[in-house]
This record gives sequence, structure tokens and C-alpha cells, in this order.
Amino acid sequence: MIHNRIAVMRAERRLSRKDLAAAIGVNYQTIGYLERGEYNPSLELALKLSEFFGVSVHFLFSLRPLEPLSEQLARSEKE
Amino acid sequence: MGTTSMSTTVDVGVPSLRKPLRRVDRSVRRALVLAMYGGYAVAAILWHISRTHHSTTLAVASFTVLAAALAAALAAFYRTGYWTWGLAFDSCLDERQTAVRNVLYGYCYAIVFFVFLLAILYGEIATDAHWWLPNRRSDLEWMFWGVWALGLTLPNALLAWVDRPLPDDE
Repeated sequence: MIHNRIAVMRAERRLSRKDLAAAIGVNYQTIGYLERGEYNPSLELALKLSEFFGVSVHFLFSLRPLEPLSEQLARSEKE
Repeated sequence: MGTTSMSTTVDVGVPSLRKPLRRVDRSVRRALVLAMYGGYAVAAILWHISRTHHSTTLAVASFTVLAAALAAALAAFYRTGYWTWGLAFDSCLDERQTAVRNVLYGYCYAIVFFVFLLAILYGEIATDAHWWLPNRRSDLEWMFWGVWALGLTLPNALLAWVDRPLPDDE
């Protein structure tokens, strides 16, 4: 399974699934399937999404469960 | 939302299924698909019996059931997106839709293969066992249009059968 941060990134930018889907050029249901981890994107779609959010593919997708951004932020503040 | 500036930075290959579609519950869709194919089979059998027994009532019943099967097809496919999805060019669909459809095309191939295999086996057995075989023109016409309708509707019917749309939240 491929884990991703699409839902978090989308919520942060206050975008609906339809907005994101229109920007990426996919059906809005596909965004829902991606967010739930029920569909693994092609490399092209993964690159489009990371380019859209302005982050690396590695930040957006992972083979391991992703650490919540709040925990990551708290840890970096401590450091 | 700021979508205008975002959409200018990313190439948008607009899929064809973007306008709001009619939502039909999956159990209802499955019932409609069964009614469509079952209705056609029942109508064909009623028509055959009506010709054998020279019964106008059964002929009328046959066409009534056929009309009901067509109505079921209309209810299953009209503005649900499955007709477009099943028959659209790949360029009109996104990668998930194409992937789902390609898997279902494989199932369609298997179903059509087994239907033909069963028909040939039945033909072989029926010839020796003196069972019913389509020999009238009207029987052959029902079979021809049945195969034609099956080929045209099967991918769309399978999509209607399996699709599990996610809620339109956010």
C-alpha cells in the first residue's frame, strides 16, 4: 500500500476534491480513491500532484505510514 | 479557492465525466442490470411460445416485458456516466477510470467466451437429443439482437454492477 498526504495538503489549501481534480485533470472520484489509499497513482499522476502542491513526491507519498505533519512540526521545534 | 492560478500551472486533461451525474444506489443498479438481461431472455421465450401456440396475448406480454427491459436499461444508464465510461475513448477518461474499465473488459471477454462456448455445447447436444434449436427466422432475429445488445451493454452493465462511488464530501 502507498500512503499519502493528499487529503492533508488539500485541506490545508482549502480545496475541494473537485477543485483539485480539475487542476490535475482527473475525475474527482479518483482524488477520493487516492486519499483513501484505494488507488495507487501512476508516476505521472504522482508527479503532477507533487508539482501542484509544490512538494517532493517523497513528501507526498510513502511506502510506510506517514508521520502526522503536526508531530513533525513539534519535533522540529524541539530540535 | 485560488483555483484559477493553480490550473494555469498544471496541464489539465479534462475528463468527459465532470458534470454532476445521477446517483443510483448499487443494489438498485444491480437489480436494473438483472432486469435488463433477464427481461430480454423472458421476452424472447414468451415470443417463442406465442409463435408456437399462436397466442396474441403472449406476444403482447413478450413486447411488454421487452419494453420493461429497455426501461431498466434506460434507468441504469441514463445520466449515470456508466454508458460513457464503458464506451469512451481512453483519452476521455483518467488513469483510474481506464484501469477499472480495462479490468472489466477482461471480464467481458471471459463472459462472452463462455456464452459462446455454452451455446456451441448446447447446439451439439440439442442436435443429438432433439431439443429445441433456433430454426425460425424470428428465433434467429431474437438471438442476433440479443448478442448485439449484450456486446453493446456488457462493459457498461459491469461498471454499473461494480462501481462504488465515494460520497461527494467537501
